[in-house]
Amino acid sequence: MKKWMLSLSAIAAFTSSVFAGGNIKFSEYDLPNGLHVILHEDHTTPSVVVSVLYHVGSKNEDPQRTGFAHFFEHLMFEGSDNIKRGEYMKLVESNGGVLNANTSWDRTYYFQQMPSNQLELALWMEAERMAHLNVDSTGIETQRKVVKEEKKMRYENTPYGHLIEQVCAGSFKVHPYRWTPIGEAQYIDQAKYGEFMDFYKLFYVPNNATLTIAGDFTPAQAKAFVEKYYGYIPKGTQAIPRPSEKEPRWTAEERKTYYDKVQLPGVIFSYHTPEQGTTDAYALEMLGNVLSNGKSSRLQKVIVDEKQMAVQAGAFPMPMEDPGITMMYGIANQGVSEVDLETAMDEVVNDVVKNGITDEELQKVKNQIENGFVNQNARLMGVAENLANYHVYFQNTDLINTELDRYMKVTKADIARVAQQYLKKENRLVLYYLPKKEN
Amino acid sequence: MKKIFAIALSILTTSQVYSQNFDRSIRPKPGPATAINMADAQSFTLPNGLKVFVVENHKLPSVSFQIDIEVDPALQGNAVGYQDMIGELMSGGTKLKSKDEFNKQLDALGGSLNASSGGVYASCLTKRQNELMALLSEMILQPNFTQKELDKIKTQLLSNLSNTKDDPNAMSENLVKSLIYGKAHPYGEIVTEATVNKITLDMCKKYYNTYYKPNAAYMAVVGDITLEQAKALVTKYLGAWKKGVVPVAKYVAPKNLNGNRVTLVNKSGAVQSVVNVTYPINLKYGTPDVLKVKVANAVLGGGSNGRLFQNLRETHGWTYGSYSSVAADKYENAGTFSATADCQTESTDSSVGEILKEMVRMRNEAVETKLLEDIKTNMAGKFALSLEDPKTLARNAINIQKYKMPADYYKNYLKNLAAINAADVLEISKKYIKPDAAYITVAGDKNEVAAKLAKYAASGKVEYFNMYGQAEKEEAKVALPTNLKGIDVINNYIAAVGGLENWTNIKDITTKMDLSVSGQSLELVEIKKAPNKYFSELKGGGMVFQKKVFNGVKGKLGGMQGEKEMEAEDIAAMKEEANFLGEVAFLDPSYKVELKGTEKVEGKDAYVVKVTNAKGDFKLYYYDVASKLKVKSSETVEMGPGQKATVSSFFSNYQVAQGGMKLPYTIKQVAGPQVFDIKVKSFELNTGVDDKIFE
Repeated sequence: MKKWMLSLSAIAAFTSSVFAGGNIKFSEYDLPNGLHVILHEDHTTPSVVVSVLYHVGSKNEDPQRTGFAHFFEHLMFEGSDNIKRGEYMKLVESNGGVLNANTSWDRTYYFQQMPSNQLELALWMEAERMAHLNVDSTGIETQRKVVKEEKKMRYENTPYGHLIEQVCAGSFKVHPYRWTPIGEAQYIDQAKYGEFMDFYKLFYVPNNATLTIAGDFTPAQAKAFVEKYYGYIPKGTQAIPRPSEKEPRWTAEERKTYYDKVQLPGVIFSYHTPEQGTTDAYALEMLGNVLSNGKSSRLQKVIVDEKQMAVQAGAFPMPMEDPGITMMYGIANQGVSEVDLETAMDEVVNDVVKNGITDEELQKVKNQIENGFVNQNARLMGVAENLANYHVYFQNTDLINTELDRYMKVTKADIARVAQQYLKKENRLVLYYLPKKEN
Repeated sequence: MKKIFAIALSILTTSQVYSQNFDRSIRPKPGPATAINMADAQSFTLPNGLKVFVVENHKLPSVSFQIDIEVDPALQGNAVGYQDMIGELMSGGTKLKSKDEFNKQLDALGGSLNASSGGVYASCLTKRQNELMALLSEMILQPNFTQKELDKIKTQLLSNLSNTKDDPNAMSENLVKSLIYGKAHPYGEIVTEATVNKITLDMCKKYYNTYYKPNAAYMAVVGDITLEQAKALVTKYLGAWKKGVVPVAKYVAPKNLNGNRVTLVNKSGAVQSVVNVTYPINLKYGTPDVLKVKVANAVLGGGSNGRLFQNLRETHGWTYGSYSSVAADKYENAGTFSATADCQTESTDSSVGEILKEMVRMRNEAVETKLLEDIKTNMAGKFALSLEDPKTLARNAINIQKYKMPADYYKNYLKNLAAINAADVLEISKKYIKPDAAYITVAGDKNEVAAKLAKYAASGKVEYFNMYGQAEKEEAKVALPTNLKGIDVINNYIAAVGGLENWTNIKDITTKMDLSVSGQSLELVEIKKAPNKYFSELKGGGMVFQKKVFNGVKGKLGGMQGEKEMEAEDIAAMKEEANFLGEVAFLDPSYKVELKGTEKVEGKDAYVVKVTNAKGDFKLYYYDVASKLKVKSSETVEMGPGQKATVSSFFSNYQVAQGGMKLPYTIKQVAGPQVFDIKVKSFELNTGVDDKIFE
């Protein structure tokens, strides 16, 4: 029944997870070629996760080639000198493992979980595609079609599927966050073979990658495998470009209307907020919890329950490497206009800006964050991804154990301050996502 | 000296780094397999009949509680949906606390507590387990069902229902449920606006009072807790839950098919079709067939190794993924086989064809040894991976009890899996894979896909359903008169708007229009002159947005970006657009004119005529059955490489204009998300337009 709804988990998949638990032991080191290696030993079950995070996402793309990083993620499954086209996925699955990958604005992440006696195979496979990716025109053509169908399935044939894309396009004028990782289909058609290889040589190099191994293995053995399969891969020869665009401060609220095949109007506020890891970002995330985490949260309680103006409402920061956005949204109940919903949402925002939050709310949010922080590390896959993210985004892998302290330090005053500083009209986009008139 | 040493060292390291002294084409062999350690769940039963299973796992300081209510409830009849509201009503406050107070206390714990008609799930850090269990107990034992909450839930549900109208997955799901199970089975009951409006508070209370009983419940306690602590906790908080007699309803078992049926829910303009080939199977939990069917299914469509994925995605690129699944069930013939793909609209019929072909192959060919071994290893691996979550152990223990499965079912899983051979897979495929007794369901654009799908139906016909899985009434269609041809419809239209003579007397026509799009008002002037000269200008707020001129041979495009000469492609399109004769041109034999059927346009029956030009491009025209007038035209245009959109125009408000011609004064054009409303201010005929304006 709730399937049509704006899928928060889908959005969460684009954002890095920021919670982790308190007692994760790990070691880390760099190979001479710059590959960063993180090891986390856990013998609870006989399986092992091997993941590689490449520090390249859609924000590294040429505006004339949006969707390129995600498309390239598909090509990475095409094969290598020693793995035939179409064999990569089969090899993992037929050895009892699972695998996947995803691309965000900031990074591309590949992961597989295998029975622990297949650690060497998993490491060999990731090394193969890091060192000798092999893509032919058949593979490119097939993946072009596949990615187009993925786009249709996730975004075009799904109610509210264009929401994030519209918010990003409206919120950023300069920064490459203005497009989403799925990008525009025509650019992938226009891209030439040489461009794929250039992209590979520039970004898919050991000095732009983080290899994480988590689970049932002995570190000495893992290190020997890593040395053997990754040690000889040459370091990239070019400096890795990072976007330097700064989104200028807005001076007036911007408004935008988008029509789609949906039945109920959606209202979205998108506020510019600082990059993840800053004090303000932590405070804003906690403010987001006050507004929308749990049935007693303000948007839930006021907009959905008491006033019954929305079938769904929420707030969530989208933590990003560069300054990003915090979104608030409401999907109107039947018969409620977008204008009235916006007014009601504004009342909630204005109240928190004017009066801040209560002690009770602060304590609740701290408890929620603590709970989430512990449970994010329930699975090896989560541990591996969190370790890699903390290293790449914060150069501080131990945040997997200590980041909670940063949240716990946030005060009521901090939250009141960030509410006043960022939840301002002139700092936001208001998007109306409206039903297209029927034929 | 120091410097030289540093350089030497760096050369040394470099050479070490770059040397690759092994043959990387040799694939690493697996190490010795590690045994899977499967602990037993511990269990106890409270005097009130609540069966509790405990799995200790002290890795993280948290604990979860799950209660499953396992009943065979009464059918919901014309009030479908009320059983789904039980959970939300239970979350609407208790006899002791208002909803707000309850939620405040719950959120303050930082954990979660959710109820549904099927049970309750809660989790938190171990240090807060007492407070959480106190709330859980209050919710289960003393909920306060109120009319106010029910009204809210109904409003929300109605809004949700209206939103699912555009969700092809919801359409597909409803269709499958209604076809396979029908109204006489709880799995086939479908929520609609009408059923929601029939729901009363009494029904909900009665459901809760009848079925929410500890003797019908199974509870799993998993995490950082010991058996003794769990016993004390559950006894303290759920010991007072009163047992009762829980009635058991009987349902009509789903029927098997004799031949394939092709069924479709229309989603006009859909960019993809949601395809499912599905039918009921009689597969009960825990029986020896289950594992064999799962292996056969994995070969066919279990993952990226499966034949469906390899065929439809990797070979053809028609879909992001195609998979099959089999589900066992506790009821008679209520399990399902299903093979699905969200595929390109234009490849819908080919996708169905390939899915059926792969199903046939499963029945005819023994699976290759290598693939079978790979699939078995994969399933063994996934089974092992599932054990990483301690909740799996609790769930397995509960399943054994609930479905009366052999006690060692999961213990023997890997052994039984290893024993399955190619002959077993072939035999089980012949029993369960039925490419000739399946429902082929499609949620997609009827006009694009239906005709090509009919060949897969035993009846040769596509059956249509609405989004709630209800058969579309046949009388929606008027029968086509047997002698009527497409060209007759065109001739009737020409006669209706003033006749061929009047039409061919027109030498030029100037149309002035007001156009509004997204609240913006623009002016559009279009001038056509025989034989194919064209001029149009779109203005608003003193600016020219778009200008087209064409003298029959060459033309120019102008607007805010400046002016440019038309290229060959534009010219070809322009010749069509400048077609001065309209429908009269279609009388020429170079056009293929076909009557495709009837369809409702704005609630009225219209003939659908497909007109294809010499190049093979086509447009659809719709002519009202009663008035003979043209009410709609539609065509698919390229919006960019690989992106297509349907542009439709709707014509209404026909009035007699100058020269005795009947012309539409209201036109609506729908192009993707854009809607243009056009009001014609005037049609001026034969004013002797100067040729200069077309240059």
